[in-house]
Formats: sequence, C-alpha cells, structure tokens
Amino acid sequence: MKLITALIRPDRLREVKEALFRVGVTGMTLSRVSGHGGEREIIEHYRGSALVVEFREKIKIEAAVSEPFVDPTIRAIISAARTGEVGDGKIFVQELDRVIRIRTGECDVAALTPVTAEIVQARARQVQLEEAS
Amino acid sequence: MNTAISAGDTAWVLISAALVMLMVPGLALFYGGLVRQKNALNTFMMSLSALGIVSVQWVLGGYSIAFGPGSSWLGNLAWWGLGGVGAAPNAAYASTIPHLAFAAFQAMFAAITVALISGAVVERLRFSAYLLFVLAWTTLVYDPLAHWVWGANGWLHALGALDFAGGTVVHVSAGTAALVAAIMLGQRRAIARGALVPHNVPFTLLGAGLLWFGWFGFNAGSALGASAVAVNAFVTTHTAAAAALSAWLLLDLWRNGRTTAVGAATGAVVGLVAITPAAGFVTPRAALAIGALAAGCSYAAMQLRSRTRIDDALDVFACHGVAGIVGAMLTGVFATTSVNAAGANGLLAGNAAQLGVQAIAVLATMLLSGGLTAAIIVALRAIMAIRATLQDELAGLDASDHGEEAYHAGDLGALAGGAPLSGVILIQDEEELAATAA
Repeated sequence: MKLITALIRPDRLREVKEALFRVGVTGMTLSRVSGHGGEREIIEHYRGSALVVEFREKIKIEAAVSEPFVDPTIRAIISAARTGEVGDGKIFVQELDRVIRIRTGECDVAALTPVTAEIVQARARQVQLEEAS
Repeated sequence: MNTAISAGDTAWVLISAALVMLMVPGLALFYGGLVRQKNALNTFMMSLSALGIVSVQWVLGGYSIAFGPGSSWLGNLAWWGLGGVGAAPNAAYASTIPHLAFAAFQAMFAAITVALISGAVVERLRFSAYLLFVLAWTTLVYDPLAHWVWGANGWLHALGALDFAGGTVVHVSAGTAALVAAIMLGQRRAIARGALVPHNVPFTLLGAGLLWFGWFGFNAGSALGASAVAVNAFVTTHTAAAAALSAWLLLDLWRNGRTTAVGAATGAVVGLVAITPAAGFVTPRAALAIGALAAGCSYAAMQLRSRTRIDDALDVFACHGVAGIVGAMLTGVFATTSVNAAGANGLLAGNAAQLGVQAIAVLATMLLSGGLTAAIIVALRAIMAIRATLQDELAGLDASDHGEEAYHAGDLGALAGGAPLSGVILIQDEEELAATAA
C-alpha cells in the first residue's frame, strides 16, 4: 500500500480527477495549498506599490492505493497534469503501515477497496473501450 | 425673496440627505476592502461610528457652530439641540425647504468628512483614541470651516470663494488632516516587511459604486432644490467621475501594462472629489477636463507617496487632498455664471481674480485643518496611548479593539463547537481512559 501525494496546477484538477476515475481510483482527498517552486515571479500592482507573489496556489491530492494501482495512478496523474511548463507539480509516493476503515473496522487492502469498486471500474473500462473504438 | 416651501425641493433635499448617508457605508466598504483581513471590522467601524458620534454632536451643537448666527469666524450656540430650527425656511441657506431639512442634509456631510480621514490612520490607531479624535476634529475643524465657507456671515463666503458642495470644507480639510495624522502617528510596523495588500478588492469596487451613487445627493443635492443647477451638478458629477476613471485606466495601462480594479475604483472617487467644489458652477465639458486632470495629479501623488516614509495607508491625501485642491483651483478656472447666476465667473470667463480667491480658500483650509489636527493629536497623546501596541498591531485591531473577527468561515474551531467560555474542559481520568481503550 502506498500513499500517493500529488501537487498539481489548480486548472488541471478536472483532467486529473477524470484520469484517476478512468483507472479506477476514486478515493482521494483534496486540499488547496500554497507553495514555492521554480516558476517565474508574478507581480501585482496596488496603487503605488508592487507586490511579488511569492507562493503559488496548488491543489494537493492524496490517495491511498493498493500495490496494483500505484503505477496506473502515477501514469494517470502525469498524463493529465502535465503541460510541459515549469510549475506542473510533483508526485510523492510513501509506504503506508496500516489503513483502517472507520465504519467497519476493515483493515489494509480491504479498507482501501472502494465499496463501489466494481461499478467504478466497470464504468472506467467502458469509457476506455469507447475511447478505443 | 419667496419663502414658500416647495414640495419638490424638499423631497429632493431629503432624498439627497439619504443618498449622502449611504456614502458612509460606501466609504466603509471602499476602505474596508483595502486593508488586511485582521483589520476589516475596525476599518468599517471607523466610518460607521463617525455617523453616530457626529450626528449626535450635530444635534447638540455642531449645526449651530457651523451655520448658526455669530461672528464671521464661528457660529454661536443659539441653535443648540436644533432649537429654533424647524419648519420655516431659513432664507440665508435655502428659501424653499424647511430649515430642518437643510440641517439634516448638512449633518451627513459632517459625518462623512471625518470618516474620510480614517483611511490614513487605519491598522494602527487605537479605536478609543479615534472616537475622541472624531468628536474633537468635527467640533474644532469641520464646524468652524463650514461656517467660514457656507455660513451666512462666514468670511470666505463673503470673500466670494466658490465651493459648491464641499471641495475645501470636506475634501481639502480631510485630506490635509489625513496627511498630518499619518505623519504624526508613524508607519505601520509591518510595512518594512513588504507591501500590505487589500484583502477584498470587490468590497472596494462596491464601495466606490455606492460612493458614486451617493455623490449625486452630495453634489446635485447641494443645489438645495430640484432646479436646473441641480441637474447641471448631477451631469457634471457623473461626467467627471467617468473621465477620471477612464484616465486612470489609461495611466495604469501606460505605467504597468495592465488596468487594475483598485485603480478604476480610485479613479472614480478622485473624479468625484475634484468636481465637488465645481459641480454647480461649470459645464459638462469642463467636468471632463476636471476629472481627467485630477486623475493625473492624484495618480502622480500616489506614486510619489509610496516612495516616502509617510504611511497615509489608503492614500487619503492623494485622493481627497490633491484632487480637492485641483478641483478647487479648476473651479476658479472653469466657473461661469451662464451655468449658475448665483456663482461667479472664473479665469476662462475673464475673471482671473477668482483663482486668487480659490487659492486663499484652499490655503486657509489647509492651515486650519493641518494646524488643529496636529494640536488635537498632541492633546490626545498627552492623555492616552493613541497607537496600538506591537502585539495588537500584529494580531489585528479587530481582535484587540473589538473582540470580534470579520470572517469565521473556514474556521475549524467553529466546526469543533468552540471552547467553553468558563475554560473548563473535562479530562478523562486514567480509569476512564483504560475503559475506552478496552
């Protein structure tokens, strides 16, 4: 099991979400974050004073996935979040010790498998089939 | 003179008074959006509290000092409590509306004028000191100045100074006081660490819109009747605001390559300030020139101010002082009796002397306002600490001076139900902990 943390551009969130759904990853937590990367500075003007915007807005996606989903998740995020310009973001992958579903007490992979897993994956397969045809 | 009351005139002046009152919350939005989040309520309250304190002062004695009979320097207290100010018109001020309607209209002017100053001292002046300042400044500066310029026997009035709706009384006086107060109070401590950024620019735009709307009452209402002069003032007011806004967009574009929203809002207000003394004396064509020229001067003043150590936080002097002076002087250039027979001709109509009179009015206003503002601040300092402490300034004056916050949304403490006021939190003893674990 891995915890995958991705920092992406806010305007790519929609594409990344759709790509993750297509590979069957529906469990995710989002937050708005600010951070410093290597982007070009943004300068804002308010009357007589200029302001360098030091931190950029990003979206942080956290998804805990079982081993078979790790690489598809990473590929999905990269394919959807990438623009090729500086500032596309990062993906961090960490080992997970334990996962517990609060409702049922299920542990680890059982806790990670979404209740709607079959429906979600069937829908994702269908989308892929439609795109292929 | 005909002293029969006109229903139309009275209705227009009452509506205008209400319009000017709306400028106070408009100003609160305009200023409140420009400060940081932690001082938003404090800044709003500076405008709203002035409406309360000045209106009480106005009834008790302010109106009488400003407009009552007395010397050419000061009214006396004959009309304290608005006694003797009633249904009958006072022909010296407005012969077709009840005297009380005139007093109500003027009350709103007094309230907004001192509130204008607050923009220079936000984010660091203790609120209790501000309230005392409001009372002292209105009594010692605004009331006498209104008497000089508008009082039936005021000396600037007798000299022939043209000030249709308060370019000197309201804007030059507030702008000068703002500059003096900002210098004496010193900089905000956080300014050394970088630009302090507006927390809600849409508030500022909405505030500018409400000010513009209210300004129709301010200027066209100053005709004190539903007359052709009122119509002229309405049109020149709108025209100057539009010209200044447009000029500001172009200046922003030229200097920074982008038009800014704060700039557009500022430009509109600057145009409204500049046309205030002129509104009932000049043509719409002149209003275009007044708005555009004032925008250029205020824009330059703002750029220069930000390079100094003067922390006139919301540029009250650049907005109201500079545009007020430009407007007062250009009134002496563009005024024509073809617009208003009760006015005078200016430079372009062949009366160069009017410029001198206007300059005297501006200088007298700046001396009175600047000198007495300094005296009031020295006196306040002698009796209390007028600056917020470093901790309060860093945490914001909303918390320290009001015990409130502007925004609680997104506060996880609210989701958690908040802490009990008594400070009592039930802590499980070891036995209970063990039971929970098992």
